Amino acid sequence: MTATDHGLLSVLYTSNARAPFGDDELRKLLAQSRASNARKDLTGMLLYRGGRFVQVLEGPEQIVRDLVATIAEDPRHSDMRVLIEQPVGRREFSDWTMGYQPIAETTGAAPEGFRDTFDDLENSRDPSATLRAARELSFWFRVKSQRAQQNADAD
Amino acid sequence: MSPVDSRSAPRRPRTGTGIVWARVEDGFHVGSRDGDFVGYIDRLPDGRYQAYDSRSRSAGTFPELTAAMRALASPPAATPAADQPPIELREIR
Repeated sequence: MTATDHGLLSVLYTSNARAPFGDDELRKLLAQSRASNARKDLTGMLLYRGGRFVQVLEGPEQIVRDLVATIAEDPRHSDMRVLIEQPVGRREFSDWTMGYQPIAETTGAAPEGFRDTFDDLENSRDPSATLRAARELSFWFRVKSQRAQQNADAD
Repeated sequence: MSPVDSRSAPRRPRTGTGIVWARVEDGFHVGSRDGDFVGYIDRLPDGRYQAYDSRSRSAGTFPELTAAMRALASPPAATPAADQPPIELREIR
């Protein structure tokens, strides 16, 4: 995103939408955040799943902190929990001012022996499990984005 | 070997390969070992499982999830492709 990627901070938070977000509301939210993030040199990813938001924000530390404080006051959501806040050497979502891919709620238990990514992300008391879950989501996002890109190229 | 008592021990996410497997969404499974992704497995509409390595190269289609997991459990062979950059991305708006 920028040549001066030092002093970067990455924050992942979850929250509850106060009212269900349909496609129009999500489109509006994404347009708003992408325009704002482009101006502020911020990048990240947004997921909306079963009335809950998962968002990753990354960029210059103070700008990220200021935005997180602003988001915390946003009346469109509640119960915001910052699950990960860490300095990073490089951006995970450098190509996205605010990446988005639709994701559905799971409909049953994970296969035997499998972790549940969202369960680990939100409920694990083990910080390493939370971090691993965040990486899994990032990986999932990249795979889905790559497929969307290939499908768009094929059209 | 007797099974682990799930009431007294945490659920074991690791297999003998050292890979932690996780479900991100229905039909999409990710495996990682020591923080590095070994690949992912998609459940296809016909019920089979398609395995991909960490660079999204197909590792085969399998009738059982465990077979797909096994296909990704082996260390990758050293090939020129291993030097290729990971997934290339650009923003989709």
